[in-house]
Order: sequence, then C-alpha cells, then structure tokens
Amino acid sequence: MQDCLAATHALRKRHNSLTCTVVYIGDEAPYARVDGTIRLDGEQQGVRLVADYELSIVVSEDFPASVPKVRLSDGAPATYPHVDADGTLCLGVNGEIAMAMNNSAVPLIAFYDEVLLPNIYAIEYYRRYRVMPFGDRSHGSQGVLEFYREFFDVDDESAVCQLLRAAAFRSPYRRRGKCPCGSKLRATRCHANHIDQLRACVDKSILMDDLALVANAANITKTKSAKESARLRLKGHRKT
Amino acid sequence: MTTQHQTLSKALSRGVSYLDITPTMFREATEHYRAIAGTLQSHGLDADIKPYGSFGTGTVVRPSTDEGTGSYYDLDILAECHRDECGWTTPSSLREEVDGILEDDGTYAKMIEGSTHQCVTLAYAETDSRPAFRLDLSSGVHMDLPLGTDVAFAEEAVNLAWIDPDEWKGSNPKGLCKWFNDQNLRFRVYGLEARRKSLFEENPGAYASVEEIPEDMDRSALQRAVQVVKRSRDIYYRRAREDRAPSSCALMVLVTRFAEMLPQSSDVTTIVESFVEGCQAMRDGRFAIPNPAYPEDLAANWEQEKVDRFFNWIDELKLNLQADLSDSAKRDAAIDAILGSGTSDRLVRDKIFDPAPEPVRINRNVKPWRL
Ligand SMILES: [Zn+2]
Repeated sequence: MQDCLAATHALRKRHNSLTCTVVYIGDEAPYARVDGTIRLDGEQQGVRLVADYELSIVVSEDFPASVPKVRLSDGAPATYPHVDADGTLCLGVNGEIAMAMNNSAVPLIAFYDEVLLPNIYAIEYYRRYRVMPFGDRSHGSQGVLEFYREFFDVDDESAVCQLLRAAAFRSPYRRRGKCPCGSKLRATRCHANHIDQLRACVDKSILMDDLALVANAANITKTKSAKESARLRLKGHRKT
Repeated sequence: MTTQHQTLSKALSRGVSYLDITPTMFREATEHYRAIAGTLQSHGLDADIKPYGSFGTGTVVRPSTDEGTGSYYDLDILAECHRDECGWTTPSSLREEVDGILEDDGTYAKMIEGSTHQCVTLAYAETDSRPAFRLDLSSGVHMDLPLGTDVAFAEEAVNLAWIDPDEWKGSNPKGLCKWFNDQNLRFRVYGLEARRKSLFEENPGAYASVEEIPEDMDRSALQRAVQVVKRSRDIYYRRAREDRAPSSCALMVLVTRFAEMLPQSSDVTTIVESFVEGCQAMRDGRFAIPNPAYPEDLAANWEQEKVDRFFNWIDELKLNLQADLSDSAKRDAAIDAILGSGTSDRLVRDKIFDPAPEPVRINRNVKPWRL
C-alpha cells in the first residue's frame, strides 16, 4: 500500500491539476486513485494536438507489479476500438507497459509519460481524424505475439515462446548455455540481455499471462499452417 | 465583435498568405500561357488561352505535400480552340494537334511532364525568384448549351477534349470563374485600400509603392476564405490518410454560396464560419452541390463514405475555429490543424502571435492493444 500511495503522490507533485484519493472497497484489496484533468500538449511528426482530458488512474496495492487502470470521465470517442468491457482504456500489451514503467526510478511517472500520454494522443488523434496515428496491435493473443516478436527481433513463434518461458521460469536457462531461441549461439551473445530485462522489469505474473497468450497465438498459427499444408498436399494428390 | 474573432481573422488571412502564389510567379505564369497561345497560333491553331480554377479566381494555395521544397503549384489553363467549318471530329484529333505542336516545339518539348486523360502538363523549374510551378493545359471547343439552360455565363460553356478514352466533356470552367469574380466584386471593393497598404507593409522590398501592387495580387476576405477552406481540406485529409477529398471547385462554390447573404464587410472568420454552418445544415437531406455555371451536380459521384468524411472534416474545422485563442498552445494547434504545421511558428516570427510553450514530443513506445 505504501508503494502505491507514494507513487500517486509523486505524480500529483508534478501535475498539480491532479487530485489524489485513497479508496477502500469492502474487503477487496485497497487501492489509490488519482483523479483530475490532464493536459495533452503533444507533437508527433509535425502534428501538434492540445486537449484537456478528465480522467482517473487506479493504482492497486501490488503496484508496480500490476499495470494501472485508466478511465476517461467522458469516455473515449464513439468508435475508438481500444476500450475494455469495464470501460477502462486498453493501453498496450501488459509486458510492454511494465517494461516502459520499470525502466524508471519512478514507475508511475514513467507510466504517465511513456504509456498514458501517447495513448491520450492517439485517442485525440482518432477523435479528430478517425484513424490511429501510429498503429495499434491486433486484438487478442495475436497482438501479444506481435509485441514479443518485435521485442526479441525473432520471427518464429516457438522461439518467442521459448524465450518468454526462459524469462518467466528461472530454472531451465543459463546465460552461458545455448540461447533458448534455438540459434545455437551462447545466450550471452544472443538473447540474454532481453531475458534479463524482462526479468528485471516485468512481474512474473504478467510474464506468465503473456506466455499463455503467446503460446495460444503460436498454436493458432501452427494449426492454420498445418491445415493449409494439408490442403495443399490434398490438392497435389488430386493433380497426380 | 469579439477579440477572439478578429484575432482569428488576422491569423487566418496572414497564415494563408504564406501559401499564396507570389507576384513574380503570377507574372511569369501569365507570360507563359500567353506565349503558348502564340506558339499554337504560329502553327495555324487559333486558340484563346485563359486561366481557370484557383489561378483564374485568385485562390491558389501551395500543395500540402510540400514541406518546403520539391513540389509544384498547379495552375490550370484552358485553350479554347476555334476552327471554321466542321472543327475537330474527335477529342483525340484536337488533343493530338495541341500536344503535337508542343512536342515539336524546341522550348516546350523538354517541359512536357506528361499527358493525361484531361490535360497536358508543362513544368517550370524553380528559379531564385520563385518556386516551381506547373501549367495544366486543357483543350476544348465552344459548346452551345440548349436555349433556356438556367446557368450563369452559359455562353462560356465548352466541350473539353479528353483522351484515352475519347470523350467530349461538357463543362464551363471560364463561366465558373466569371461567376466567382462577380460574386467576389462586392467583397473586393470593401477595404481595398487598407488591404493594399498592409500588403505593401507586410512585403518590404517587394513593391516600390502601394500603387505598384498589381490588382490581381489583392485578395478579398472571400478569396482568403476559399484559400483557408481548401488548405484545411488538404491538411485534414492528409492527417486522416484519406484521399477521397472534395474538389477545390466544389469548395469554392460552397464557400461563395454561403457567403451570398453576408454583408460585404464580412471578414475571413465570418465567411468560413458561414461555410461550416451551411455545410452542417446539409447533413440531413439530399447531398448536392449544383454548379452555378453548368447544369450538373458537382457531388454527383460522391459515395456515402465520401459524404461522411466530408462532414467529419467540417466538424473538425469547426472545432478548430472555436479553439480558445487565449490559450496559446490550443491556439497554435488549431491554426496548424487548419493551415498546416509551421504556420503558427511563422505567425510568432511575424509578431502576430506571442510564443507558446513547447509541446512534449510523443514517442511511439507503446501501441494500444486489447484481449
Ligand atoms: Zn537467441
């Protein structure tokens, strides 16, 4: 609880338009909530957008092991595709957000600068121009796979799974051993730094969740391609 | 009238003037199209060449792809060709004659950039005194509209020669210019001397005296409003990555139509606002933009998505017109959303605006995602 309170106070100190409330709900885990108006004054590729957004940021007790939840008081634009069923914003793949937050000494401020503000910029851009300014990820497990592919710079799904598994479970991986990606290189010369970064920045529970999603996505792709090759084989047979 | 209103008018007029054709370019382009008429004449082709579109109405804006260098102002000119007896039997026979004379000419052969369905394009490279520009030369012959056709300047109608596929396209580009210039007259006479004086002061060294400023370089509030609307269209559709934008011709007609009831003393803000409100009132009902100079609907082939996008742009333009100008960050974002990034910086340099705080650079670290 102390962590999550300190985090919200640090954020409020920098943005005095935000107010900070601590809320307890019944027997559920306590959390801190930051309410207020934030000013977006951002520029990307020559496009400056300025707008004030009223929102609340909920930081739960296990912060920074978990990702804060953000809700806009007036809701997102009508057809904006990245809002969860509970009305909170979909800010990104959890592992990606955790990494952005925990690279910093003050995770909630990093969350605000690196995650929330670009998302608010994207929302404002969408509100005006009905298009995402810098793309978005596929919905569902496919989007998680996309992120880890980019992060490890590896195309093969099962290699992505093995690397993520190595980060989530400590035991089967040695820095001086072969890299889990299957490159036959020593991990220190291959993906050791990526794995270390994930272990340092992303909570194990988030890694496990993302691993499950990536494994699921990889499985879907595999089944698809197996079906495809079976179909092709069948076609080939017919021809002969 | 509020200060907000006046400030906006001043910023829009000045901001869009940065995008206008320069006096040198205007003079050279005029000389060039006259020279083309001379060349055609010397080969036995009797043709009147006149500017039309933005060039003929004084509403040119720099193309939005332009971030400083490497792009062209596009100026439209029309050769109305005359021949006694039977004239040309097919559009391509006319186009072949015009294109052929230019292709065989030592000067024009190397300037031809291409020949399309509608026109042949001549490119004029950048010089020290002016940016690059292109002349799009369309060719056509006079056409008689049926007696009693209720449009302005019906006697100016032409059949444009289109090729690949061959097509005589009935149109009235010169009549439309005359219609606009007629409508513009009352806005032009209002405050003319004051505008010429400030044009003189804003361009030190460009003119020896106020009297030297050519009439054609003066821009009324209506002309500035048309420029603002066209530029806003360019910026919006580029940011939205959408290419089904409304034509300049359709916008010019709409702005002018919705200005008909306004007093001649109206400023740019008033005229653009009345365009926005007029368009918003078209939302419910059949969508049509009648050409005042030719019996046609300029929005005849707009599909539903194009219409929806159009209204989305109008809403966005309205949002920017209503931005709180006393908030300098919002002010700069709104002006740049209408006229393109860099405009507000230049207004600051020209001391029209006070400097605003620097925006935060947005990194694209994290992309939105959901389960
Ligand atoms: Zn590796």
